[in-house]
Amino acid sequence: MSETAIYILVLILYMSFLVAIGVLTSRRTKSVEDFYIGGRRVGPWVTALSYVAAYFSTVLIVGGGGFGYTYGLSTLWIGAANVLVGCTLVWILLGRRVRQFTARLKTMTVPGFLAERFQAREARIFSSLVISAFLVVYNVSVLVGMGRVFEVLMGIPYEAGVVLSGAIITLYVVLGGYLAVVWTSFFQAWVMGIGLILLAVAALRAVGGLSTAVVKLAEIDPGLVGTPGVWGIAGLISYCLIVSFGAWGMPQLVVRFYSIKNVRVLRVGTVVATVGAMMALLPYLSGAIARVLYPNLANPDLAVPTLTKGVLSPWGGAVFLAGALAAGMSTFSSVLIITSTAIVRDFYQKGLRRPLSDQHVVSYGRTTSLLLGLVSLLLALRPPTLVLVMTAFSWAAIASTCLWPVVLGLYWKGATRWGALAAMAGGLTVSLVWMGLRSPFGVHGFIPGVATSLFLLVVVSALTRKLPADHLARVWGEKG
Amino acid sequence: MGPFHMPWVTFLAFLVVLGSLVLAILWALFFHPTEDE
Repeated sequence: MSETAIYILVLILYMSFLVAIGVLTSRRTKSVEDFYIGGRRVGPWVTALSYVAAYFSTVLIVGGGGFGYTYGLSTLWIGAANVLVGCTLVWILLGRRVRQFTARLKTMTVPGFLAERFQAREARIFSSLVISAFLVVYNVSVLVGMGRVFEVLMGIPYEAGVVLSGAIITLYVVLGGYLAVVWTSFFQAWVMGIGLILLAVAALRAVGGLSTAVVKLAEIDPGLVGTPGVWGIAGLISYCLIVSFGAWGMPQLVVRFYSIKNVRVLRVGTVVATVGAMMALLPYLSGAIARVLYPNLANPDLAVPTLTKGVLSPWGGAVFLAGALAAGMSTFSSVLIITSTAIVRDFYQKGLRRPLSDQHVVSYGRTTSLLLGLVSLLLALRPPTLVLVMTAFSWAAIASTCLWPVVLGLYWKGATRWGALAAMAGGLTVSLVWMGLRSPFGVHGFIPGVATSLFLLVVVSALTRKLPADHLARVWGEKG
Repeated sequence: MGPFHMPWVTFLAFLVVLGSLVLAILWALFFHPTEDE
């Protein structure tokens, strides 16, 4: 069987499986709560691995390999930050409170939490608009990544790859809503993990083991094995922070805790998510090994595709291809459902106070998911310059808006309505202006954005009227 | 020089990952939610 035939066979099996999950979960998706948070009945394994799959996209697998190729082993610190800060600490510090608070406030979304916790309708409208705008462009970048994977690994035209993957994801999200997203993501996390392990093991064998790889990298440039090495301390630390601490404010990740069936899920879930997140080390390691095996690549993003073709059999390559697509599809679907929720539930129904029956919310949710999927797909076919620029801002913009109001909203009773609103507006503005100034001192806009947001939340809260004691007692579950 | 000819500060990244797993397991062992949670 030819290499292309093997790739296509694996791809057809894989895509069919995803659509089947969409059809099966559509039968269990009836109410609004089912469509948006899986009826709050998701267990530990599915929650944990779908968190990991939503967290890591094709950007990690292909782009991470490129980073490892360019900057060497110091990039292992990005993977380590992903595991500790972006996963384990999120589960330990946010999981329980997010589940408890959102159940008490009867809210299903991050903008909904902000509105109810701070008694601020403006927080719902503002955050839902920021989330919608920046997550749509984030999704375009995810689709672009998948199109490139099709093009480079399979020789399938970029446009065909974008249309195929975009259409399949949109189909299963429209059918099964959140349950389809988490179940497909659960499955996709396994495919990603297996693909990344296969590639890393084959690369280590090809180079003669880890010690040999390190020695040969040092011969190319000693900066490729040191930390911060050739990257420099400012670049490495700010990148580590944005891709790990930034996760604390990303709605598509935080919402996983809304949907767990009870807080006992967190015990097993925290361990499973930590183990799953460990896969984040592998693309960087494989990329660094590719530097030893193929030192003269024209573009660092070719490191992982070149390594795949060089060290894996066609079947192994097909599994890795499925893993790379799984990474993109799971992130795209998670973001799609969150964006749809932000528009229908938070902006239209609650923000503009339009009366909608539960049945209408679900049908509007499906229609909006379909439209958003199609818009992302069309934008990804010929990405406009503005979309590409916004893509670089998206993660930082959302984190600068939502991170501190979510975290301090869970931990500090003194956080006030005006403190939260100032933090959201100020954090977003500073991060966008900073990035508009082309990131002075090599520091990413995320850092000044979240720093400003924290400062404003604390200072403005200290100066403005506290929220009513009975409201805070209800949120904290205090009986009195 | 640390294991695998890596500088210790680079190898520490692996130890942070291992430490995260130990932290997760210890937290899970001592995490006892109440019945009504």
